[in-house]
Amino acid sequence: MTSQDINRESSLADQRTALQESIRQLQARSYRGMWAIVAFACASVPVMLSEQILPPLTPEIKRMLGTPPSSNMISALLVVYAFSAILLVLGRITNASPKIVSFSHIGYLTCFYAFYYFSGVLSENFWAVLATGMTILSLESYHIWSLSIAQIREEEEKLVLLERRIKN
Amino acid sequence: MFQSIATRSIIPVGLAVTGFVAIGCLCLYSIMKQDMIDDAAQSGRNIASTVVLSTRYAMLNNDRQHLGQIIANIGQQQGVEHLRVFNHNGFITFSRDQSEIGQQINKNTKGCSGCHTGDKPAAQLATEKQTHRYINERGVKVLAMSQPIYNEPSCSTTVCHYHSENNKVLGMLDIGIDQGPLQNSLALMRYRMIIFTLMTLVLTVGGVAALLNRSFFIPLHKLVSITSATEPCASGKKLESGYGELSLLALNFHNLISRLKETRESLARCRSNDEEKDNPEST
Repeated sequence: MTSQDINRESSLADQRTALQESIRQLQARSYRGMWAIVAFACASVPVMLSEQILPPLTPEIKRMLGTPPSSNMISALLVVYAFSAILLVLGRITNASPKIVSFSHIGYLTCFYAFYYFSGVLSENFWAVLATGMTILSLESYHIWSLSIAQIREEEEKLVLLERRIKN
Repeated sequence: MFQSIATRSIIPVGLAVTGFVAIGCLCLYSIMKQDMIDDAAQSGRNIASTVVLSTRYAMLNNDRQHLGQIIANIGQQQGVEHLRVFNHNGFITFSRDQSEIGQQINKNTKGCSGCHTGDKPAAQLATEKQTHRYINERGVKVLAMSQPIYNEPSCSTTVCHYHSENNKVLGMLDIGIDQGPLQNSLALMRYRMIIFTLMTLVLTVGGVAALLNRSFFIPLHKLVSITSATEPCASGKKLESGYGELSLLALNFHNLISRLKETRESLARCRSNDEEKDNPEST
């Protein structure tokens, strides 16, 4: 066996390792959307029980925070946010964009919970925020999962070709 | 299953439409509920104001019997859960429920804490703080309104009266309205919205699915079955025209297979001719 053959074999082995690593990363990425849904559900549990577990805001804190926005204004903002977020996810699905923004949505949704809490209407609007979160994150999760699965298939096909080249 | 075109087309559309309709309905329900509660609170405040105005003359004349009768009569109205008047020190002086008279109300209770938060009680009470909701001891959801009875020049200057000018609030009228009818209306509205949402969802997702099925999936399945055949052209199967791009694709595929078949046949003929030339004695 010549040194050229040895180099070729080691290069192919490196490529195979890189492909296997890439498949492993893609498999891990395909579950990121699900993790975001679980994280949001976990964040929503204490919010749902807020009336029992959180103390009511004292007048001093209310004075410090100032006048809260009206619940109608927050709800209108929530609908606009849901509409634009769904459109953006659908756009990413159409363009097969690899951009992942699941976890930032949890931050935005938590802000909505906080605003409703400070306005004193959290219990009435909890389900609306939960439905918004679940819709956006489910769509995002489906997009990440389907994109990752398609990329995993591509990588697996490359791996099969590479295995054939190594055997020959 | 999740990789088929049908699933990949229906899932995002179904999720987006279902989710957004649900969000819209939940927000709309919440807004309408708040509006209805605000309206009920406004009419409750109007009733409280009417009671205060009705009793004003009796109060000025210190006619306690007449005052008690007015409170008892209004309190008997359907939907009025409680109606009472407190004095400056928080003692119930008049009430629909005679057993309450003389009892002192805790200043830390929900209805009183609006004014009694600091060392000195607030003289003016914001409109939204005059209203609070709670469930009473009989399990009835009550919308309660507190209407302050302010000191007026006529209260402190008439000879029969003893209210000091310094007392800004002489007492409080507290009226509680049963929220049962409001809750029933809200429940009815909720069921109607759920039915409307479900109907919208079925129509939207069903409509999209039916259209996709008719114009895409049926011809696609036919195309797949034609292309999967071992002898695509020999089987006689052909996708009908009228399916747009899919019909064109089927036609192109058919032409491609026909050309491939012709090429194979020509190649075979050439080969057999070559073999004949190479071995003329074999013929």
